Amino acid sequence: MNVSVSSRGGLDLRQLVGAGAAACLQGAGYPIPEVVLSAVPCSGGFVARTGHDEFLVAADEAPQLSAASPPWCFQRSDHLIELTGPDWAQALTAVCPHDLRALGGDAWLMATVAGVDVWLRTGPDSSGGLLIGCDPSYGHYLETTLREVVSETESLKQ
Amino acid sequence: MPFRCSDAGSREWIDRSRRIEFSFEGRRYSAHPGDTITSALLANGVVVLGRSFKYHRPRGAFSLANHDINALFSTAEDTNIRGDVTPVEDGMALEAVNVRGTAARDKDRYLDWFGRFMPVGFYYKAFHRPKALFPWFEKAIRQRAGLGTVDTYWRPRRRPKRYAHCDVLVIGAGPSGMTAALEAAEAGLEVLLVDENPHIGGSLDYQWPLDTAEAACPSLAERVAAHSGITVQTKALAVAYYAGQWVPVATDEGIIKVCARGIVVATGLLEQPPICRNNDRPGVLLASGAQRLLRRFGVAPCQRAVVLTANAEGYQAALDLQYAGVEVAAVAALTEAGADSEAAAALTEAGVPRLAHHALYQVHGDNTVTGARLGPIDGSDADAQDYDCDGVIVSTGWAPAAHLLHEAGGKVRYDTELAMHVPSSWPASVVPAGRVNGAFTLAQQTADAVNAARRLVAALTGATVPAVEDWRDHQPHSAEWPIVRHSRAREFVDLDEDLQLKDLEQAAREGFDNIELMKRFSTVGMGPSQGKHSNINAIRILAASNGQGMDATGSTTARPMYHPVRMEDLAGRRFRPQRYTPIHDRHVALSGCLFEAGPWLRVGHYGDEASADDCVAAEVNTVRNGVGLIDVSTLGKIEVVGPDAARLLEGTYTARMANAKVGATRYALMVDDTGVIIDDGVVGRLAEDHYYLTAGSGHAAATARTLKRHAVEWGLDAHVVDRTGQLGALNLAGPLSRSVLARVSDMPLDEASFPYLNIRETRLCGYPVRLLRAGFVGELAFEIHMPAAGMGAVWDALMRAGADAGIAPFGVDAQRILRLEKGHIIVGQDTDGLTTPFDAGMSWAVHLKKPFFKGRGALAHLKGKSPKRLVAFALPTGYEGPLPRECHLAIRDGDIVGRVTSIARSPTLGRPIGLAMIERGLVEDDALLTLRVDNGQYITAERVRAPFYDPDGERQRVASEEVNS
Repeated sequence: MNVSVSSRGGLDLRQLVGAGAAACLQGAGYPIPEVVLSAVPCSGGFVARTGHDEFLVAADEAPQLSAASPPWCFQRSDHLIELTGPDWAQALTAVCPHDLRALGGDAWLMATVAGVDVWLRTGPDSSGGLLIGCDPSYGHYLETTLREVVSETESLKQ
Repeated sequence: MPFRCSDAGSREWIDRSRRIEFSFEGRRYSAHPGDTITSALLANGVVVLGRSFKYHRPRGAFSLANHDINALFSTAEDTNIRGDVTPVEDGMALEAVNVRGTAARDKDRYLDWFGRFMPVGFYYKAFHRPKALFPWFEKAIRQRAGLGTVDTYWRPRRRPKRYAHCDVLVIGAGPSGMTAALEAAEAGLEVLLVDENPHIGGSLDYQWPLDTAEAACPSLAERVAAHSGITVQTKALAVAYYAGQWVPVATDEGIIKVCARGIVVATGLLEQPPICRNNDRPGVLLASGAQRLLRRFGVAPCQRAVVLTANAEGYQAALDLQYAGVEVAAVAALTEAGADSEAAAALTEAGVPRLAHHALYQVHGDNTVTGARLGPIDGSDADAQDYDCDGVIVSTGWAPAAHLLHEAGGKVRYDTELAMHVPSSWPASVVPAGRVNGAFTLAQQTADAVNAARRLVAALTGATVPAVEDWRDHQPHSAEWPIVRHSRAREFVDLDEDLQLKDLEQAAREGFDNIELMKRFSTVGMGPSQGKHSNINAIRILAASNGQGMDATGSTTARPMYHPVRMEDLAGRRFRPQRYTPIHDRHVALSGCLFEAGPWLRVGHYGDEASADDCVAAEVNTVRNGVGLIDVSTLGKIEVVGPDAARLLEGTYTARMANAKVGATRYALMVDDTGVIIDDGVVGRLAEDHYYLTAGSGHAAATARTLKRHAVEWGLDAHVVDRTGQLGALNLAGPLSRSVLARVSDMPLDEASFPYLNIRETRLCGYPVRLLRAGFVGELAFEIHMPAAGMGAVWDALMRAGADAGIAPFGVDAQRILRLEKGHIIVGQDTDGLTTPFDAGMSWAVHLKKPFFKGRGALAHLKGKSPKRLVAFALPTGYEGPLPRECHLAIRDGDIVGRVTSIARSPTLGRPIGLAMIERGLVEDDALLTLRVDNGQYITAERVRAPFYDPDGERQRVASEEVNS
């Protein structure tokens, strides 16, 4: 199985909630996904619409938002795990009940992996890999589990 | 291999070019790769493969269709291996199950002689007296009845499950399943085709002449295999249907949980046996079983056969046997069905005796079949004739394998034309196709599958769903009454459970005259084959007994799993999510003893487990007299923002929240509609439209969900963000905490600038933090909430800053003692599913003057009527006796009057202290509390007033760190 699991750093994550969140992001030059539970790419990361007035912004740097903006902005410390290699979807079938066929390019899915709530994000080319974000307290468990799954699946193949 | 046919068939599964060796009961045999255990043994002339469940009668192969529970085997590693479908492996050392000695010479075979003393339900009625002998009977029965022996030193194994999604799941890769799969795939849908066999083809590869199959379904398997829209999974048995269109598929690699938008049930039919005396003898085979054996494995089931049929399939089976070199002594026909078939004509032409309107009266032979007695259906034994044979091949009826359809909500009815059950209704997204739907000929099956697939595709794509077309056959394929009674009984209905015709009739006479009751009393259909060959005949017998029709008699309920599944497959991978706090590594480095608090790993205390009490006492003393630091990251941490944030909290908690000033905190108690306490925490107001609140460690997610639900239900413009895992939290506690914190903070911390029960936002070590003046442990204390990333830096800075003050980390064990000394409750420990704030002595936290909050109505009603009360008690100073435990009972005059909710030896007070929930009537009366502890001992505790420590709360508001000096 051609897939590897690694921690991913270097992304600043912010959660914006409240009426005006979309306008605030637009004002700061960020693209806005039209559809709830979808994402669009932005500087090194993405903007995901997690609710009508809720957004998750993952970018190389913290967004420069206007101080007068109405929404509330909270820093997120999600544990980020990257699955790379063409077989990442196959590896995930051992731990994720969701229909991963929906994950094409630039896709976003809020799902459960190994019993933990996560978000899944693919880049423009979904075959390139998958970014998984989870509550930081579950980070160690989830990453360990994913490594075990990949390792067991590889040994089964042999 | 004397029974192996010399000519290789074109559809064989075996590789005749290679041989493998295996042993059965110590004797060595050879086989070909691709053979199952059963086919390999039959090829070698071994016919007795096991012993029956109750009477230890000899048994053998029957269906070759994964239902032969009398041909189970064990190896050194495994037991209850199904010989009819498990491939034999080179070097395999097999034993029969449920035998003493060998299958052919079982030492318990004498039990069959005493069968009359073991009628249906005898185990409910016998062995009651003398009672002392029951254990002996139990042991004897357990040794002799049953299946394989479980190795009690069995090492648990798990085979991970995995998930799969598709548009259409087709179950069964016979002609109908393959046709439906192609039809759905051609419509652009993603198809998963599963079949329990190692090769696709289903009945095509054993039940139809090659030219007939090819003419009706040209290159069907090849077209399926070549289609890019179809994924084929063989050796994959769909074992259940669950809501949401989830179907677990058992494979050699574990269970695949398949979720399909649409499902085609092309599971075919289960052949049903006739009932007559000794119909269980090894050598009696279902016709389809004989054909599987012949076509797939090249094994002749016998040398001279008698065939009993009630359909065209039986004639075809007889003809197949004759072509394979088996002498067919006679073909007896229960009905006219199939008598005009090509196969029947070919048999006549070949000179095979055909007996119309004849039944199988009896099978002869002690250990295996040596003959069969055939006679007119309406005749008597005197009219019957014996035929020498070593095999009896029977084809007297069918039942649809509609279990998954049942589980999906489908129904069946008895079709008098076909003389069998057929599906009568089904969901739009789960459709039957082919033989399971009563379509018998290949043309019928193909047309029915096309119609089923088109209907399913239309339903999935939103197109107009075509009408259901009737492609069912219009002649019977089953005998309505394939049962011949014999005066000496031994007419078996259920081969799993050794149930005879007389057993079911007796059950009906005893009043178990409903099919569900009969099943439970007699255990018919409750063996490993789950009634696949017994249920239909059981319904027939009950229908006859009750004078009812088949539909009026009904059928038992199909439940998941419809076929036994290995325990290791059901177990799957173990998911046990664990949460680490942001400074987990530091706790490990400091020798923190970790324990599981729900999903969280928390520190009980620091230091040796062996000296836990001393470590905890030292930590308590550190907090009481100096300064301690605890990781409280597990606390629920929730932001509530928006113009209606105050209204949301006002309606959710019992206390006033809307009038809290910015910068202030309030104790927050949450109750449900019935007024029962469900959570508590602290609510801090950061702005007019921004609150930050804490919740119990185990209740954070539920509290966040409740708040979100309230916001929606009440139509409020408020947002709830659960940041429990995103933020970490520390509690710096003790009289020296302020001075230690001052060394790392620029913010003024004096009482005037930052009073008790206030919240402030500032920065520590470069990280944004929130400071809360809270008093859970009853000392001057600062809760510090911050991003997870900052926890390590702040922890290290505080430990450095407090080094000369003797700062030490403390764990949950010490924290629990500290809060108990202070008389603070823990929701879920000191409260239960019935505890109201009044019971817990917290009426001060309930503001009934508020016009509305969740649970207000109940609390207004309950005020002053509390039936119980949380009280404090203490044991004498220096008490060294047995310490009560949480949930030990309070007793008065022999009656239970309450229970201990918290208990600990207080290092500060030098005596054990605790809380107990007791009946209200005793609250004012008794100065003493009698507690029943381990071993039924009673001890007496003194009732005291809470808090035990610092009752005036001076230490939490202390203006100076010099309180101890």
